[in-house]
Amino acid sequence: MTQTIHPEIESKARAQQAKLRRRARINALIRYFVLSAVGLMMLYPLIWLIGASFKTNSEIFTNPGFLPKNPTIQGYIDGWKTSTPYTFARFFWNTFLIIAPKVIGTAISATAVAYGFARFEFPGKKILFATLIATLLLPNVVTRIPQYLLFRDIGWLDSFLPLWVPSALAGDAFFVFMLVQFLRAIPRDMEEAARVDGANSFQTLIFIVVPLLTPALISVCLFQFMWSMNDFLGPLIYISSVEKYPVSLALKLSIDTTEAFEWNRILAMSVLAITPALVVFFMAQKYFIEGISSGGVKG
Amino acid sequence: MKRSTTALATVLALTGISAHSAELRMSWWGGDSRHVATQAALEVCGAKTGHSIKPEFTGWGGHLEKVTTQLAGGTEADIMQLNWPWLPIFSPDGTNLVDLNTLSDTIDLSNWNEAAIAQATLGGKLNGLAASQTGMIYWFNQDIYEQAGLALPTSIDDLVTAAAVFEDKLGEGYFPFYLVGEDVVKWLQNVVAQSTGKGLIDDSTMTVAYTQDELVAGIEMYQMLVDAKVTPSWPDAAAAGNVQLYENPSWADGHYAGTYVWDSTYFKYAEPLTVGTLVPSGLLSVEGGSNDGVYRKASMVFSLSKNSDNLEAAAQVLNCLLNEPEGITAMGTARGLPASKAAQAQLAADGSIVDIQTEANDMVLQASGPEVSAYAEHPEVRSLMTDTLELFAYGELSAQEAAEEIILGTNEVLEKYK
Repeated sequence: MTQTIHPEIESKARAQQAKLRRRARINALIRYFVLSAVGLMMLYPLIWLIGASFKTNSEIFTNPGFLPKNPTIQGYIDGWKTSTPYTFARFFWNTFLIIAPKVIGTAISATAVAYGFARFEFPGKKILFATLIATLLLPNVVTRIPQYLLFRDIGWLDSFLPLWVPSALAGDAFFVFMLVQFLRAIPRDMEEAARVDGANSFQTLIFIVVPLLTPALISVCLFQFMWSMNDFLGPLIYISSVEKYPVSLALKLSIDTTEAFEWNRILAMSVLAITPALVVFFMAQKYFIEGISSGGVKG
Repeated sequence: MKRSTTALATVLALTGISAHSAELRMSWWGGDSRHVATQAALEVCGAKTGHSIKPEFTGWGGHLEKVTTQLAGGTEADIMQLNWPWLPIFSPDGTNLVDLNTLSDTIDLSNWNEAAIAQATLGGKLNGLAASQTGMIYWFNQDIYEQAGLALPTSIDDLVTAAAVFEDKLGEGYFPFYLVGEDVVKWLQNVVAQSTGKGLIDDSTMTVAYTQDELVAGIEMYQMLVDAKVTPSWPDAAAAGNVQLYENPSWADGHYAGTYVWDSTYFKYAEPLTVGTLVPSGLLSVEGGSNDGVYRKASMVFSLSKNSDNLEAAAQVLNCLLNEPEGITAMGTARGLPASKAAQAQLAADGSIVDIQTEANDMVLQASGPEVSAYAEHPEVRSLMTDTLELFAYGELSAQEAAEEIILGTNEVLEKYK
């Protein structure tokens, strides 16, 4: 009874299946080829940077390929020594001293502020939130000089404080806005359950909201890390002592218009400078993607 | 009461001491060799004058922004290396920086020639001391010219003749000269100054001194050079990736056998050469020219901050850096051939200056020409002229339109400073 399918039909179906499989394979092949080609094209500048950092200075201009003819690590050795009394390690340490409090401070303060805006009703909330968004739209340069004068009067010039304190007090409206939007998408069920169980607002924040918010917080930390690492203008105007320079300033230290300079040293140090950002990104990538795809209440 | 008098006495005593050994700051921009030399010089001069000077240095990028913020906030370093064209921006009437004439007891001003002093004087106040004086001259690759059987050019006409010979004898891809990008702006001012005897900007009226016809003649002369294959055209150079000439393989192997650049950049252009040697060749004359039209300026100046608490100390250090043997030796030629006569004499005597540098600098100093206005180097004027000439080079504007655009645009920028 079950053997009702005619053998001819069966073989036809099989052929059809094989054809589909073949087509899928060809499709995948084309897809991966295009993806790899475009990906390689996007990555090429980075690959070239790494290759060129092992070239001699003259080879950088004569050999356009990324494979050095006679690889040398002289660029790394000389670049690390720098033209200052300090080595590059000092500049990395300075960058760390700025970034660590800045990232941690941003995560804590932005969460608290976003929680307030997303979950509580208080007088003037609309106006305050509008002000927050307004500062988001305000170009940075506009506030540069007034801020500089303010920090001068507080006596914070030539220290790391102006670079991280504003962020640690939720000064970066973008992150607050991002977290508010994320919080709006999270249903309040679990928080209400916690309230019923007797948790106060702060406990709700720590034990319920923050765990749900973790993926978004990781994105906040990642963004803040990368932007601070690349920030040039901030340190440029606030820090004047060479011993306090972060990496972004130190990289430009040798670039002058009237003097030919050693590109290989600068490229070598650039490679070292992007390494932390790459490492952090790859380490956090899993959570980063997870944060975007998941979210909301489970079960 | 008694306590407050004691406190006052302590403060007085402390300031009294600090007048003898002051804490100073000095800021500059530059590359590795300048950083090393200046730090060493500050150490020597600090020891000699008994002051301690904290160095603050960066690369070129962003330095203008940094100094601008500092001047706005009154937190600038006591001694500053400034770019000469920045002086009228920071101190239009000369009052925002220290008038160095008032410190002439400490700083020996007789070491600078009249031109250097005049160029840095605003509203009768000397705002800066030139670190070096530099000017644009022609440089040629001697060996390539010899291969072509030619003597080095002395006039623009010689260049045109050379272009034909180059094509015959050396073949395709060889040019006797290379003039592209911002250098065209300076070159244009040179040829027009030669034929008119005027500088681009008249400081007394704060307008462009050239008439439209005078500028058109200069722009057409540039086009003539391109048409005669004296120099690669602007679009062609851009298509080749806009590589800096000294990083260009065609420069290194002699395909481009000459250029028009600052005398102070000799090493930058000479070192990459794999074929031939670079010789300074003064300024090429234009037919009917009345002078050499030299474009000469203080390449950078040292200024003192008006907010300095220890002006006398800062002046002592500055004098040590520029005029005293210890400072001169340490500073060397990290800022080009020094403008200070004392430094020139000392460096020439101990052989720290290569002859060719002196030769090129002498050509600049001895050449004649109208005074160059600091506004000619104003960032907006420069970018306006560069952009307009680029549009002309691409055929988007005629010579007449380009000249008109330059005159109108420049006058508009100058309007702000009247």
